Amino acid sequence: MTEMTSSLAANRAAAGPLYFEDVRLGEHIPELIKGPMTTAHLMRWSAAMENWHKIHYDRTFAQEHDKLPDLLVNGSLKQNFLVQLVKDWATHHGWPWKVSFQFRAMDVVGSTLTIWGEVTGLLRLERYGLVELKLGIRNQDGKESTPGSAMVALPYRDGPAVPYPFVAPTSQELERARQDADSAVSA
Amino acid sequence: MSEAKSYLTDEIRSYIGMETEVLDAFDPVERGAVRRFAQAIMDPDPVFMEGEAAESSRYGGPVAPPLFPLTQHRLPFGSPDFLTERASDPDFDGTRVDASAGEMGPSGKPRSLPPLPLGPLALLNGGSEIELYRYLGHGETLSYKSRYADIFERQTSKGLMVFVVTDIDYLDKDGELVARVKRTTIRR
Repeated sequence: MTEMTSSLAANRAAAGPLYFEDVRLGEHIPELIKGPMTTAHLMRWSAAMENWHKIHYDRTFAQEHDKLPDLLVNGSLKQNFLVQLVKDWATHHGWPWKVSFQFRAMDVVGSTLTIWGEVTGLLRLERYGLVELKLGIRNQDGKESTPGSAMVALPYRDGPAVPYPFVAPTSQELERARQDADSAVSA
Repeated sequence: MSEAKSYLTDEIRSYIGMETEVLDAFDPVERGAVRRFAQAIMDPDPVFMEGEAAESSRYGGPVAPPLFPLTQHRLPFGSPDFLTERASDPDFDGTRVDASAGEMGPSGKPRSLPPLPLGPLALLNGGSEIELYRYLGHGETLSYKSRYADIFERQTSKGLMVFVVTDIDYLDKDGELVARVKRTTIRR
């Protein structure tokens, strides 16, 4: 699975920047697959963040003490997957400004997670375009655990680079871009 | 628990707006920690490692993964540390407890947010809104501050729940924003 992620990132890099003009409303962006998530993966994450809570690596404890169905995939790990999805899609010429999500359901050890995104909005600002996305994490049984959304900045084909460090739009600029997008749809 | 009419006492409400002082992360961004982190999230992006891809990127060198700053809340050496005290305890469940929570720092603000007096209510991670402004380079220092932004309750199909919204700002050495997280914790 790492190979799959790796080739996706490599393909993106080879293809150059993703421009705002390349993106279509309703488009599904390339999915990221993580898993099957084994105890080794959960242990590696616990070690990386120094979180030693037993519900992630001691099955007897998780089931008997905390009455959980099985070892839990850390929410703190799943949020990294969501960010990687939009980061890889945007390439390093874009910027994953906002990522929001709700942990609605547990994912347990053994799951294979599909991290997905769908374009729900296109906002034209002066220096860059902002793509709004709906995000989610789906397990091998089709169950969604982590509904979310994102706002990703992409350069215009003939425009300047997206500023780094990122300069967020003001709420007035965002509001104006939303009104423009709405009137474009109704026209 | 489900019979409770409200958990939101004046005492609980008084925590809204409470803010910590700015704390320095325990370690500068260490490349071994970055490697462990990148391997753990299974993200082989070459900008996380030394090499041509990182040097020629707009970051000007290797950086830590986007959410690396969020895991850098570690206690300084010498402060009371639950994990050190219970390291040999076979019954320790591994839950991180900040024994210095609520302790005052030199600025007169607490060093970390004190836990809310909600007794035995379970604590669940409800999710977050994350804003990113830049990635941390290897060797950079990080600081952060937290604030109880809101505390409210809702009647749900699973009973009465308290939603605790905590804002955390992650700052670079110049005090510029690296990331901002609005985290929702559910108590029920």
